[in-house]
Amino acid sequence: MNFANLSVSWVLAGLAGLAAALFVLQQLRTRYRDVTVVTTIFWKQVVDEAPVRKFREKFRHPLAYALILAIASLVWLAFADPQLSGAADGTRYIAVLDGSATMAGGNRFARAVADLERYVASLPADRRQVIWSGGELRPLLSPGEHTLLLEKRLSRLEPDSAPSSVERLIRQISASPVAGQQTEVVVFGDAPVRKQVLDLLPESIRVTRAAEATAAGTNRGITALGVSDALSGAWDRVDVLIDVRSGAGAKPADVQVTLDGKPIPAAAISRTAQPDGEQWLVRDLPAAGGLFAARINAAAGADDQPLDDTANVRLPDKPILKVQLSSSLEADLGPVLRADSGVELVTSSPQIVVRRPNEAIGGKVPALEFVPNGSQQQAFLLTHPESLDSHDVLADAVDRIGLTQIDAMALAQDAGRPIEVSIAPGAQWRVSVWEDLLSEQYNFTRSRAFPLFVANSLRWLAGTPAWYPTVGAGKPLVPASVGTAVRVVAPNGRVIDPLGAAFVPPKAGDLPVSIKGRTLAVSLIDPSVTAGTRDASLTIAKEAATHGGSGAGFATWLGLIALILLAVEWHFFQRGRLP
Amino acid sequence: MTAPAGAIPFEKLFDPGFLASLSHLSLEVQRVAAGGRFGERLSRELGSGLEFRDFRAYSPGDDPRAIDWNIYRRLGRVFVRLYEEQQDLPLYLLPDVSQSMFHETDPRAITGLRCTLALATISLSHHDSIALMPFAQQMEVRVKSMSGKASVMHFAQHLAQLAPPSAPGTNLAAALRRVADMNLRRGLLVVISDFFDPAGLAAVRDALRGIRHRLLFVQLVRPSDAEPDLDGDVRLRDCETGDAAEVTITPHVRDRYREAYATFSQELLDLVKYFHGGLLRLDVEKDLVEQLNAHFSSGHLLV
Repeated sequence: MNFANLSVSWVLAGLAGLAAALFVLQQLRTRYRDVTVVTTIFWKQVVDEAPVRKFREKFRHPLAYALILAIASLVWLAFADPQLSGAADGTRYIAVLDGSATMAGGNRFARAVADLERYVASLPADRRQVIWSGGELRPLLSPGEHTLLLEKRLSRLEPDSAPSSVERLIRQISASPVAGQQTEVVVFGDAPVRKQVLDLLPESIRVTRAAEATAAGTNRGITALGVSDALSGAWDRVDVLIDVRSGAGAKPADVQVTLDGKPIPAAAISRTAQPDGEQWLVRDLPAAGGLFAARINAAAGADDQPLDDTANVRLPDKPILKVQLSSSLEADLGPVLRADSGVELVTSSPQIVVRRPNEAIGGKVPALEFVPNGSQQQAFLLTHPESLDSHDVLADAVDRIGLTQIDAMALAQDAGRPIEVSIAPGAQWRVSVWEDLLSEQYNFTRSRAFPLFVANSLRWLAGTPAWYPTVGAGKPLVPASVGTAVRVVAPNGRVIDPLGAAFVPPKAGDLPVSIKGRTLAVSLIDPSVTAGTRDASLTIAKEAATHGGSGAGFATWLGLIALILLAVEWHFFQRGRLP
Repeated sequence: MTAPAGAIPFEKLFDPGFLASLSHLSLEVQRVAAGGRFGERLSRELGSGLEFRDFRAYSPGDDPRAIDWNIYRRLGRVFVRLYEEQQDLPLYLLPDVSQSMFHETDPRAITGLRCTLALATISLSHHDSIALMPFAQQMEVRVKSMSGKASVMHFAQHLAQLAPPSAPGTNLAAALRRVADMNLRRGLLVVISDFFDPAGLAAVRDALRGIRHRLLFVQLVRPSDAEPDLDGDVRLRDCETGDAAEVTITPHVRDRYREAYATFSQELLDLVKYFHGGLLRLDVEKDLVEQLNAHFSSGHLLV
């Protein structure tokens, strides 16, 4: 037996405390009311039947003490809510509540919750578990917890604006089967579960759906929202593509687009019809970090899924870098830099300087330097301020600078020595490269990787933040540009996306990042949600299990027995048989 | 005359209307003992009365005037005529003046002393003699003998002087033993009390064995005696002795109290019956005159 509300030690401690407290109360001196009467001769005849309790005197009413202790103990045990293990087939029950955007339409969620509550109430408390499968996976009811807690937790829930995570949950469950124990997983909701996911399940795990999935209704929704460099070629401009899908029978969607809340002129918008919807292209929006929003006009008619009617994206901030180029490098790097529309060559006050060592230009600004081969062992040497960790900086820089794009093997053959990348702390941000790589001996300057390497190095040195062309719930964050990586942070500022692993936004909404005052806008943009994808891979659970005894009934019986004993005590008290 | 502390005010005892309402009541005992003054009661003594009762054979010393010469002429034997002699009824009044009689807001002593006065008035109006012997822990003879209708006021003043003694306790048995020792002429002994004697009725029974008088017990009761208005945990303190009894009063305890009180009342009645006496139970919270009228419904209270 275990207890839903208290641990065994707390139950025992409570019983001991009650026994002690009642024992003391039994012995406390009664505070009498003084009454002067004409005679006490008749009272003295019956005084033996009236209790006189005095502290530390002989314990006079053991039976009364036993009765009140029994009542108090029963109430305490009822509060602790003992749970009896039922028939010992040992099956573990996991109820999965689908909290994805699919459940937002109609009364699907309410129906699933009602089914879930009925199902959970019929399960043995110590072997049941309820898991929320929305944008995130989290337990709603742990084994042994009372169903009242589940009701309270469910009352605050509503579907997340996120794609289904049920498949992910099933994979996690199948990855950790309990040896020798059957696991029964029942999905409450319409989340699609593909057959190939079920095929990977071990035999000890069985997954069913509580009820037939609700048929998807007529729906329109935004299934894609992405940002790209402007086709016009302007560095500080971007284009936005919106994919709107309309289900069968749905009217064409009317999409309202705004930038930082202001409507975008129709002249900037072009629409292209698609077989199942329409594509909207919004051109030449300023790449200044504004918030682009697209919203389907609700007045267009019935819509089964409200959460996919809006989508937002944070436009990139693409400043033009001011670069000072050493005249000694003009021949090799001038054409490359001038071809970069994001770079402006200046002769003073640069953000970045491109030079050889010992050239007196640029001062202490971050520098891309081409050094003699003999001055450093490595072909590429990155220098960073001493306050930063070299390993973190190197791991970030290898991707950001695009060193992986360089054909290091060819360079090594040409150089006759290994091509190495290293990092070291120093006084300033710097990328030092063998100057011989610019010579005809190497094919580096004529490779496709060279302009990319130069452009990426400049932006990495300038600290230009990377930007994301599309940010969808449940989809990994993939940056579209080089630059300083943007870290996702928790509200308390702690970085929550580990270095080297793509962060997956759990649901639509604002996603705080490490740049102060800046957030990423996460949108649902999930075609399966908008299309109302269903599948019949899951079998339908025949009926809710009726296993073992629910603890609630046992607690009720304890309470009833306590009430009966209380009535008995009252009866005896009224008859004067109890003090 | 200044009343002592604790005494009932004179005005409470004397109410002309109350006294007048008692004028038609009387006390009767079955036979008055011999040796008293001429009165209105039938005496056990056959003497010089007017009402013929019997004959008996002449014996030396008899009054020759009582010889019935007609019988002598017919039978040749000498008989004397016997007549009923009318004598007074000595009334010995023993009011309880213990502290319990004066304790409550409406003390029982008021009813007790008024009852005493009423009985005294009745007796005096019938030319009976009365004695006043209040008792508490000890008995005291306040009036040894008083007679005559004009003595009512004088007697009332005696009653108004009665107050609870400083010594606590009640001892009716001791008072009765002292009465027995006084060798008084046989009469009617009236005890007016609540009879809450710590020594109990057994001691009273023993004491009554030495009493040669007819008995009348006037028990002063109030409803709360049988149905105490108490509940919960109480420390009951005896107003006379100061003894305390700590009781948790529950319905069951209250029932047991009722049983104890009922037993006491029955034992008191049995005691009085045993000694061929009478018991007059007066509720101190009701009008005394009405209660006496009920008891004296025939105009006479036969003891």
